[in-house]
Amino acid sequence: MTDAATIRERFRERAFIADEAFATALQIMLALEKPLLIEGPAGVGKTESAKVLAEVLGTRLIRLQCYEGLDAIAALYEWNYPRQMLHARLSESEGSSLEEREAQIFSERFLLKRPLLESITEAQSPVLLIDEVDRADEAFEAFLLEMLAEWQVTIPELGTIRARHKPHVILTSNRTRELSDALRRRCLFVWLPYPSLDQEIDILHARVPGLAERLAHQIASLMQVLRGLPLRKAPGVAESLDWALALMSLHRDHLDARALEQTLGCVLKVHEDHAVMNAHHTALEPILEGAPGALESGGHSRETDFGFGSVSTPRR
Amino acid sequence: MYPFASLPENLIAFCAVLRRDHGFRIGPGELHDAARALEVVDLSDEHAVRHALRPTLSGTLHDATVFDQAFADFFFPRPFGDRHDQRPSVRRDPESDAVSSEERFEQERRARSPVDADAVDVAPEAPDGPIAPLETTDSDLEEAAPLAHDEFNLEYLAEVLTQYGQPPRIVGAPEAVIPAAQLLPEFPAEMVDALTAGQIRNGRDFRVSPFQVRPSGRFVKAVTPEGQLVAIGEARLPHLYHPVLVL
Repeated sequence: MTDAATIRERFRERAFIADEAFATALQIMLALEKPLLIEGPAGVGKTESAKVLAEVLGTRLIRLQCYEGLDAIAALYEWNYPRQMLHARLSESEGSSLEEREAQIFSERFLLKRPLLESITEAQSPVLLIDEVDRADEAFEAFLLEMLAEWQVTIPELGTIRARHKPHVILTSNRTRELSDALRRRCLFVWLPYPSLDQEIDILHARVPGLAERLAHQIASLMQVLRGLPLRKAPGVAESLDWALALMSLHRDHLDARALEQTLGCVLKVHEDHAVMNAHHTALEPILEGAPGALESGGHSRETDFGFGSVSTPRR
Repeated sequence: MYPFASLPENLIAFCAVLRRDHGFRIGPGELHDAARALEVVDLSDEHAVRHALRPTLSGTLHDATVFDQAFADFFFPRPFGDRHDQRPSVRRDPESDAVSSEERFEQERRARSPVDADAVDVAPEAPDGPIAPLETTDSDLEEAAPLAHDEFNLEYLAEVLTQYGQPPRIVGAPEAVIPAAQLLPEFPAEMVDALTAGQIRNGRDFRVSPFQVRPSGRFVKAVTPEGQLVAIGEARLPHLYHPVLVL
């Protein structure tokens, strides 16, 4: 795990196609022990990259999903109040002093660790994924800043807990809100764009084994066109993978107008987008019509499939 | 091959360019990170260096988008004659009746230097565009001293331009001379001391202050403190100019 080439290889083994720029960013992040802020459109694999990184490093992935209203308590720790109550009740008759009982109640046994506290008490540096940090509010962002700088948490009843091992931090953002300058400066930054046509074909083959070459090409080409349309929700890589699986399960080895109609739900998730696509159908037609299958009325095409359903294509 | 001798110097200069020209917000922290990032990648691999610097120096999508071009411009400035792709937009514009003095100078330089014979063959696109009348005013002529070593001969310039089928409209007597320092107002002037001036006359490359001359500028005038033009330098590297015309 020292250089970008190795990282790429390890990621590829786990069916994550990382380009050189992204792999180098990960390498720098690991070497500098700095958080990495990944921005990009939805569904390009920001979250997935953190999962794969944890796998590759052989450590735990601790995920903090951000949402509006997320506060420090929910991210750090809470006391297990019902359990404390129960314990207090049960130990009433023991005759121990108030101080002793208090110390028992406020011990680590009754502490519910939330992701941030958990990440600094791990025995081995985990990967801490702070997902969709743009959805949390600015107050939380300020708290996060402090956390990323200090790597310690003070619990009044227990004292200060310092990180034994700094976690590898990955933050993701969909740019629904502009992040503060301070947070940006604390992090390394990488922009993860939609994959290019070739990259997407590569990803499809890596993630959906047995996908016909021609189908992969058609899906990727159509995705390139769709992402250029003024859609409410442009399809990401996740959508193309879903779509490929759906088409495979329908035993399709190519895309025609009918197959597109049947499986459109995998690609366009907002009803209004269907109208947008229909308005631009001329842009899609060359891809669909380019398939020999469309002309041969559903016959198996020779170059991809010898009538055995599908052929596995070599990974590139 | 890089603008400065040492890696830290190059990095600092590059960061200064990113800050000044592209609005990057780079502080000492980012600079430090960038230097550390360079320690972990293969420095002989241009891509690796680029990919290592991008995440450390850029903070927003805009930064990341313009980074590659800025990197190429700084570390691999465009070689000679590679500007054809940019030029037509200027030339074909019928509205513009002014060709920058940078281009005028370029044409002249090509015509003069025999090694650039190929370039002259390419040049026929030149007549397409109008060449601006030389902006020689009477006051210029009045100021003009008798032929000195730092002055262009207008007659000669006219001859060169005529080769492109566009004889310049010269106001005043054809044998008039004007101070060269005023002839090319678009070239930034870099003040050089007597010692450097001597070296430049002997063909040595010269450096210009990075705070005065933008690295994108192709030509600069080297001028003595007294205002005498020593040479015209062409960018070899950012801030490093080679005298192509010594006067």
